Amino acid sequence: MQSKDHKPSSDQSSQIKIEVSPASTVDFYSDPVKRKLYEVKKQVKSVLEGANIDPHKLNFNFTV
Amino acid sequence: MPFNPGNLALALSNELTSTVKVSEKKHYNYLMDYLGNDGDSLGAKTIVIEYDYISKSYLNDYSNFYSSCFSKYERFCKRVHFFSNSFSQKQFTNAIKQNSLRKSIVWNSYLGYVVVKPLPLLTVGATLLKTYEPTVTHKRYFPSSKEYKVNLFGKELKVNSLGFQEQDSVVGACASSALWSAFQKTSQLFQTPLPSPSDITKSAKNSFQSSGRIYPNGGLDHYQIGNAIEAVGLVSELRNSKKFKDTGIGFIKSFIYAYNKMGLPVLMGIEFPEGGHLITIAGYKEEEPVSFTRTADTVLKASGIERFYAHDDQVGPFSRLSFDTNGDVITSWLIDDPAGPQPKKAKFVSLFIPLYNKIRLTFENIYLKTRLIDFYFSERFETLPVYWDIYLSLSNHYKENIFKSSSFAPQKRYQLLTEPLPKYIWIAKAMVGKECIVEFMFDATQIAASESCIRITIFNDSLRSILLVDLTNQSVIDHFTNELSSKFFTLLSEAAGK
Repeated sequence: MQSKDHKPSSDQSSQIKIEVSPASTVDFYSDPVKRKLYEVKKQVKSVLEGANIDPHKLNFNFTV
Repeated sequence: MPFNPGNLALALSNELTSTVKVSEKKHYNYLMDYLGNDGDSLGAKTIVIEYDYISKSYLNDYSNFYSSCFSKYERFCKRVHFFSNSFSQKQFTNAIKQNSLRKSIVWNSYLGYVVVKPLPLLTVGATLLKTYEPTVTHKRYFPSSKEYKVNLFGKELKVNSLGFQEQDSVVGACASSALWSAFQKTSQLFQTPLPSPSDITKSAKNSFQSSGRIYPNGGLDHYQIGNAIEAVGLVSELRNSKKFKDTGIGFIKSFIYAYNKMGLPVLMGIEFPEGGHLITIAGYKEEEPVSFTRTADTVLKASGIERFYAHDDQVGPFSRLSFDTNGDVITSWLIDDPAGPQPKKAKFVSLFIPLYNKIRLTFENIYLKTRLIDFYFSERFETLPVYWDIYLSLSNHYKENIFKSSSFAPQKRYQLLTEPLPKYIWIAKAMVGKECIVEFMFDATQIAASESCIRITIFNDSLRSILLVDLTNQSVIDHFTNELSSKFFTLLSEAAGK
C-alpha cells in the first residue's frame, strides 16, 4: 500500500521489509501470552517503584 | 607563549601556588591531555595570558567570603586562553592593532580559556574549553553545551562548551561546583538564574548533617542539593533507591540519556572510599556500529552508550566516565599502579535532574508505555530486532528536525509542522537497524494517570500493512485499549490508515 505520508517509491526502497506469514496471528487471550504480559507488568512495577526516593539515604554527603 | 608542559604550569600558577604545586594537580595532567596533541585532544599550540581579569563568579565568592579575611586575597584573576595555531607575540599584537577582515590565524583558532583564581592550590576558576570534535567513528554528543561569547581585547570569539570550575573548598565543595555547571545550561533552557558557587552553597541552607555553618563549606547532602535546585526555580527528579540501581546499567544509562539528549545536565552522585562526590554529566558517546538483537526485555538504544562526559571538579571538564559490569562507575581519577596509572572506580549513589516543573511525566512513565507497546512487537515479530530510542525533547527542536528532514511528503510535513504541540514532549522511537519504523509522541506536561500519547507516526510501509490487518484482531484491540487506552488505540488506527 502506497504511503500517504512519505515521498514516492524511490525513497521507499531503503525501508526494511517486515514480513509475517499470512496465516500467523497473535492471540493476547492465550494463557502463555497472558503469563508473559504478567511478568512484563511485574518488572515494570519494580521499575516504577525505583523512581521513589529512599528517604534514609538523603543525608548522604558529597564532600570530596 | 607556546603550549608545552612548562608553560601550562606557569600559566596556571599564581603567587600562592607554584608551578611545582600546579604540576602535581590532577587538573594539570588532565588539561595537558585534553589540550595536547595526541589523538582527539584539542591540539593547543599557543597560550595567551590576560592579566587583571575580573571573573564574575570569583568576584561574587570574593565578596561573600575572601574580602572579609584578615589575610589579603586578590580580587583580580588571570584568564589563560588557548589557540590551536602557533603565532608569536608580535602576530598577536598585530591581530589586535589591525581590524582586518581577512581570516586570522589568531582568532580562527580559539579553543577557550581557563580562569586562574588568586587562591592557594585550588586555582582553577571558570573554564570554557571546546568540546571534543565528533568524527566518523566517534559519535560524541554534548547536548548540555551551549555557545558562549568571549570578549578578548574587544574581539568577540565564540566557544561551544559548558562552564566548569574546581571547588575552592571554602565557599563550596564538589556539589556547589557541580551545581554551578548544571545551572549554566538550565539558565539557557529555562531562563533560570546563574548563581555563583558561594550563592549556591548559601541557598542550599544548612541541614546540620555535617557542619554547623555554611562557610567554610564541607559539602552538601541530598536535601541541600534539592534546596539549591529549588532556589533557582526548578524541581528535581532524584533517583537514589536500591530498586533504581537494581534496574541495571542499561536502564540507568538510558535514564541519563533520555534527559541529557534535551540538554539537561545530569548530576551524578558517586562514592569513593574518601567520601561522596558529585559530578555533572554533559554529554555521551554512542557505540558504533549500532547492533541490537531481540530479547524478551525491551531493548533500549541508550543501553549501548559507551561512555559519558562529565564535569568532575577534581579532574577537569568533559572527563570520561563509564560503567563496569558490576554497575560501578569508572572515573577519570587515576590511581598509581605498576602497570601505569589506572582509572579509579566509584560506587554509583544517585542521580539528580534539575527540571522545569511543567515537565511532569518521568522516564519511567514512558518506559512503562513503551514496554506494553513493545510487547505487541515481541509477540508478533519474534525475531525482528526492534530497539527503542526514548528521550525528552523541546517540541520546537522536534519541529526543527522535521523542517530539515526530507523524509515527509509536503502535505504531511505541513501537518506535522503546523499542529500545536506542548512545549515539552517525550519521544519513543521503535528502531530496526538505523531505520525508525514507528514513532510515539507523549505530552510531557500531562499527568501520569491520563493518556499522554498525542501522536503516532508509522514510517515503515510493511509495518503499516500488517497493523491494518492486526487492528481488526479483537485480542490486539483489547491489548492496546486495556493496557494503554482507547485513545491510544484510536491514534494507532489513524496512523495505520484505518
